[in-house]
Amino acid sequence: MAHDDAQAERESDASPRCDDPGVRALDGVSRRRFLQTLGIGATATAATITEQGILGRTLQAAQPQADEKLGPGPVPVTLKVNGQAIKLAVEPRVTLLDALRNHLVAGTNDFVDLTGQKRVCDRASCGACTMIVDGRTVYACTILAIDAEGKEVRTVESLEKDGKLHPVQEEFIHHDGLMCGFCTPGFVMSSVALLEKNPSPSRDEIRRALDGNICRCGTQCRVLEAVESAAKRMQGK
Amino acid sequence: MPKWPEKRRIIGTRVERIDGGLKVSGKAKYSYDRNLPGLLHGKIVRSPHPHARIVSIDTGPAESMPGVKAVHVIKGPGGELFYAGDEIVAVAAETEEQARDAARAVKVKYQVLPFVSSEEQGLKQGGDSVKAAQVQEQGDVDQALKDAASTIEGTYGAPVITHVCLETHGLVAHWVADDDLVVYASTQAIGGTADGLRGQFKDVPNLKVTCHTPFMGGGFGSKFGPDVQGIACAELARKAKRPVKLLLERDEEHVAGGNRPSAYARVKAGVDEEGNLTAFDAESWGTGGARGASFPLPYIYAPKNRRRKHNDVTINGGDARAMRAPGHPQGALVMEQVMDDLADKIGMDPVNFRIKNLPTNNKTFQTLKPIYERELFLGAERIGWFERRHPRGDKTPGPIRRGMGCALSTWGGGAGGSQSTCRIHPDGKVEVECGTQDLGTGTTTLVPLVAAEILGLEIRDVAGRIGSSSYPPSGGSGGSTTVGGVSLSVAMACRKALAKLFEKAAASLNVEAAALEAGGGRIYSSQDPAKGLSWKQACALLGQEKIQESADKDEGRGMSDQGVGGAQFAEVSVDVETGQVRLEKIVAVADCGMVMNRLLCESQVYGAVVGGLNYGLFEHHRLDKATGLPVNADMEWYKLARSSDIGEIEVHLLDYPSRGVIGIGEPPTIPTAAAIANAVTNALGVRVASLPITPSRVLEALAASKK
Repeated sequence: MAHDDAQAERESDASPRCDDPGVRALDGVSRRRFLQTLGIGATATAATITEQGILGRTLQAAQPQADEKLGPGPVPVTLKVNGQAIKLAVEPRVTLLDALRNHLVAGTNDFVDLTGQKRVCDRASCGACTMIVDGRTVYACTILAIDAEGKEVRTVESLEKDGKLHPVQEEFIHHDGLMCGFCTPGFVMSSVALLEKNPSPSRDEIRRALDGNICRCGTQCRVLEAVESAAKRMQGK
Repeated sequence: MPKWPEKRRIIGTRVERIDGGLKVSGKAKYSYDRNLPGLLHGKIVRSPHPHARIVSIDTGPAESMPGVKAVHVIKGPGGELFYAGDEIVAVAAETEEQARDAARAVKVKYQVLPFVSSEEQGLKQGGDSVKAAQVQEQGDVDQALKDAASTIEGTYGAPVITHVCLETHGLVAHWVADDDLVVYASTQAIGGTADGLRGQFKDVPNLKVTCHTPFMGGGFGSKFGPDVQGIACAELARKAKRPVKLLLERDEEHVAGGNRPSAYARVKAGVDEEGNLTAFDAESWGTGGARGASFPLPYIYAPKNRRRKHNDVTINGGDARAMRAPGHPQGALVMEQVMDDLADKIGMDPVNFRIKNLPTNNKTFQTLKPIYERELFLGAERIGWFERRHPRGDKTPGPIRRGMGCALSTWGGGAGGSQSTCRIHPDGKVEVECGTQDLGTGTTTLVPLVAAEILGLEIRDVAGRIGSSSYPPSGGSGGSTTVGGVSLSVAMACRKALAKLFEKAAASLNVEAAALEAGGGRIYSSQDPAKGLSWKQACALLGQEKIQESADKDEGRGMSDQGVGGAQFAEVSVDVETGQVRLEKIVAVADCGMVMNRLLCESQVYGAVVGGLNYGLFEHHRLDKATGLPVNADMEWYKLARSSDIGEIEVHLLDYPSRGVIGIGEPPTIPTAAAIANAVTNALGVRVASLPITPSRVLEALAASKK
């Protein structure tokens, strides 16, 4: 079953998991920044948090300045989302997801209002908040906004180009791979990320790539068909 | 009596959901996404104890915190808290993070009271924990069991599960004036939510309440009124004089958003020599928190001699609510396992055994008998039942055992209350309004689909408007009655409007209005189709005046029906070394009268089957027996199927247009878990006593059978 897939299989997955080395790398950064917010110097923490990913990847976070301290009040954050710079002022504890969904553009009364990605479990279990960050899918509910600085963040709002939906989105509609639609943007982003990495996935590869996303209405069968069709179309078949 | 058109151009075809583009692109704004200028965020302080009395509440520390704009006491000192998660105080602050801090800062003193955290504890304790048993009896069960040629005994059951709506319960409340409340609610009943709120603010003279729900992220029976959190949200917004968003967090959703009650039954049943079910004796129990946990039993089949004693056990858990075909999945689970146990005992094929025992004790079951037979044969054929099913217990060497099972379902449906208005404008534009809501079922697409069929137009020519209580009232979406009610009220409103347009066109064409038809974007004479007007030309005859006609679903009486039967088959493989159950295939055959939109109707069945397999293999809302606290109020340890868990699902719709429209949302979720349980038993040779059929339970059942 999905929850017991071999580790080797996980590496090829598009969906993030809490034990995914990519997520872990981000998580490592999160803890580092978090410790700064507590005012603990980087020198003291470096030894405890410099670790290797479980597959031997070294964490590549820049070493922060020893005197840098963030929070607990709002701090300026600039995010690069869908190719645009967005300035916010949020507390360091605010997640990337909540920053884009619930918070104001700094110095204005306008919401960032990128609400396509949903908050459903808020604990990296369901995938409704899936965004693509530096080419990898991540659970945006489990990454701090401050840790997404300097990274390329993509949400479902980025997919439509010149009024035309992405083939994955179109095939979701053709196959009715959606019902209430609340999980759909997450499934769409996981599917897009999969096809960017693996343009002609097998059925099982699609299933595994989408195992990080939960749909309660039960659209999974048709999402599978939709992703297969989209892959064929994008391959020009 | 009104009828559907004999020749249908759009009804029954595969129509993509018209709001699909908004949903896949993230443009669809759900209540959870609603960012209004000046929006505050609300949070609720909840009981940390499964049972307690409030001694005192100090909201002072919260009120003085940064960003806090309003505090509302839901339950004051002296109030009883009935479960861990019961509501006490609500707070609103500028940011959600500040609101969470404020909720934590509210100081509540509790007098902790004794609690009951499980059905077993409640039954053992008795007293207030067990409501007086309900007993139903017919015939002489004891004698029938004595006389039976064969009998079986078994215990079957399923635990409490929760709806896990992806969009949690709640709403955004905005007082646009002192007597004008607008809410954006995640609800299955926009009218009911508006009415419920109006009832809560009786102190406001001439209060106007409007509920908007253009999109909502799942309800499954749990979202019918404003609820405690919705009312608290409106109170906070009123106090703060700013809009407030209060939708539950995931853990709150599990404990306070409703649940499907547990269901357990000890059954003795017997058959005569020909295999007729003659005796059925059941003792059942279950809990829905403080609510009832009844479910139909016996289910579908009607043994002449039967007795059923049921106990509702009260435990300190959240209240049960309707959940997708309330009671029926539990009834089917118990009954259909009994049927398989009996069939296996006497060595009769379970499909034949079911056909032999199909009831004919009322008109619905007389109608359904040939439908069930057709479904059973079709399903059996599609899963390879007659070629590949083996007797109970796969004797194949090696750890992987395969098995097949089947189960039946029944449900009502029918047409729920609904009114619609159709407007035809002089420029040819058509608007249809109906105060219903789309739970993901496709009602948004249904409204213009029906209108276009009746008006002879294309779906894109009709602006369908739903999802606001400002439109003509339509009932809550429950009982699979939305498609029936809405189809009828829309069809009849459009017919009345079209009749008005025919009058104008008849004068212009110099033919009788009764001889006119609408089709292909034209209005023409049925005797001489060349004689006609384009839709636009006909509408232009209206001059300055639009046509506006409203209708109630009752005007379409006869265009819908109720009473459906379904059959499902499951094939599983079980690893007897690990206990893992793998779903190979499920075949679902569904009866739903006249199919309105084949593409979306199939989706309903797929989704219902996935809901049923979640019930069968994964879901279990657990309270810790020692503390009474929920242990898996999240989406990690509360298990739900993921794509790799689902296997192949094959859907067959039995299209019976002569029966009219019948809802499909609930019935196909009823038999899935029962079919899976029977398939697992067929594979293993032993029963797993209770859902969910997890690896550990499979291994326990195998170990127990070897003792």
